[in-house]
Amino acid sequence: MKKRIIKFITSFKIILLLSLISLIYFAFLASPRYESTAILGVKSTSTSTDTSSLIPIIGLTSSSKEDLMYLKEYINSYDMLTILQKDIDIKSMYEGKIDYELLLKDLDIKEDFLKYYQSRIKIVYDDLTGLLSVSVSAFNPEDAKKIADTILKESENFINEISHKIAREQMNFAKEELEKANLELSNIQKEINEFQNSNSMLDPITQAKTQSAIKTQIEEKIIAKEVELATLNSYLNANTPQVKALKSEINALKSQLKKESDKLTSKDKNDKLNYLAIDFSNLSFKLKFAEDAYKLALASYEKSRLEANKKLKQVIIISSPILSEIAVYPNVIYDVFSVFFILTLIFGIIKFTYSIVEEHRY
Amino acid sequence: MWHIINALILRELKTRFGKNETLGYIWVIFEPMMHILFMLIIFTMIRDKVLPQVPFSLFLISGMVPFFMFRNIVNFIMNGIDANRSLFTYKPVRPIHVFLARALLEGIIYFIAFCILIIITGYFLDYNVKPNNLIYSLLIFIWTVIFAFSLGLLFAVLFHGKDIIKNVINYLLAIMYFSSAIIFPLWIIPNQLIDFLAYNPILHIIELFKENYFETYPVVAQINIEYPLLCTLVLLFFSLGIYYKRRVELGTA
Repeated sequence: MKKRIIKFITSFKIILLLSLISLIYFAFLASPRYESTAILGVKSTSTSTDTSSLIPIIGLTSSSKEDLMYLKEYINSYDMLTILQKDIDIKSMYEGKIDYELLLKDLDIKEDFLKYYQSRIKIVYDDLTGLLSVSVSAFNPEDAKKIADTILKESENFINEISHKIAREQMNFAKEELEKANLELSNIQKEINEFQNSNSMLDPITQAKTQSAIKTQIEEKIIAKEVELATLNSYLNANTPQVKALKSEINALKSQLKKESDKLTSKDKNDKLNYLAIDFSNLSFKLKFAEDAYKLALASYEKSRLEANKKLKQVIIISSPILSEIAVYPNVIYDVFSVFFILTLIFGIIKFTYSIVEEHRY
Repeated sequence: MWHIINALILRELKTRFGKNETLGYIWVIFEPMMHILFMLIIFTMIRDKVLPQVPFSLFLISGMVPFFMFRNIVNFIMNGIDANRSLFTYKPVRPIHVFLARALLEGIIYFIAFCILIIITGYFLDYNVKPNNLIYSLLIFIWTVIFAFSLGLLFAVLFHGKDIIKNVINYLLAIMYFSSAIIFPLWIIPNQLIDFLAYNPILHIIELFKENYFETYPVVAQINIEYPLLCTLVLLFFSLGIYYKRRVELGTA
């Protein structure tokens, strides 16, 4: 009996038996798998192209390829699997089916589940066309199509989410800048108000102008009066009331002039008009600057707000997943023949090695 | 069987560099290293720091050592019968012993050379050269020896006594050197060309070795394990089969 078993194992019949087992497995036991394929690309909707013609020469990747690579990783990730599980309960589609890969894995373990899921989807990026083809296989055609459709939907969300996230971040930054500029502007306005209130004047510069106009007026008057006095002196005594009146008028005018020019400029006091004018022009410069900054911040905020709301990138579906009618697996003839071929090779190698060793034994 | 191979390995060592005993043994290791060191210095001087993933010198070592080992094993096995013809007058010594001895010897020499080179380079670069996946790296190294052995055996038994074809094969091996992505990283060439290069099984084996050795080594989609495995099985099957059929003819002194 033992001898017969050894003889059987060492004969070619064992290969035939194993091939027959694999034939039974592939033809009757293995659950057929159907495949659903989608081909997609990513197109940016913004008209401005930031890719220069030099880039392909240097070998940098274009933004569309980058997006597709992100997408590829995303489809392969556990996040995608979680969404698929939540939306269409992908686990129940795989459970209870006969598949030798499934035998070794426990779908309740995350890593195994992910690995199995990854082995059921095939993502190929074509360098020439810049398109991504996503093939999903499942144990019945409806499931395959459902999974592929969900993946496509999620891909679109994902691609838009990337660009929106960046745009939103930019918008938040612009908003902060705008608020800062706004605060600065109102601070300066407040400062000017306080300045005007404490000095009880609207604008020291115009004030100074009117002040100097008054000064020249008084000076003109003094000169006119002095001419009149000189005329009177030529034919009137100095003690006459007219001369005296004129003199006191001139004196009054002169003291008034001194008062007025003291208001404009002074050696020691800081609240004179010339100081105030400089302070005020500083303030008004600051105001103008703050106003400009505010305008710029507002413009950039508006721009980023528009960008964030716009659909920046779009997943284009070149070919949408279809309901397949022929199972891609198992391909009974091919699979059985491969098993037979490989087993024959191994058997041959073992046999030859055995014969060679046996022959040289002494 | 093993003591014959053992004796043949010692004989190979002696005949190759056996004049001075201590220097000879050092030279056995140093000779393959010399060539690689020379290439290494030139290439790293021309284009160091072009690879962000792996230091370029380590990339070169991990490609060159397995490939030169492969080439040498194929060459030595191919010429093994002619070099040891006189030995076949002793009945116990058969050509397969010579082939095994040569493959084993080259494997050991290049394994030691690889360790020395990678440790020294790693020390100078201050790079951690511990393989990412030690078991797989080791298995793939052994696989390279087996693959080279089966290819060399096939050539040896097919082209026994046909020296012209052996010369042609030498040229073909030189072409394989350039198509195995040893002096340039595979992922910089266009996809369509990779599809074409992927018919070369030794490219798969060496890429798999690097992928398992370096953690940061990028995986190229076209590289798989099934194709080179199938190639090895087919080669081993045919080479052993043809050897078995022609064993008497090959073994006549």
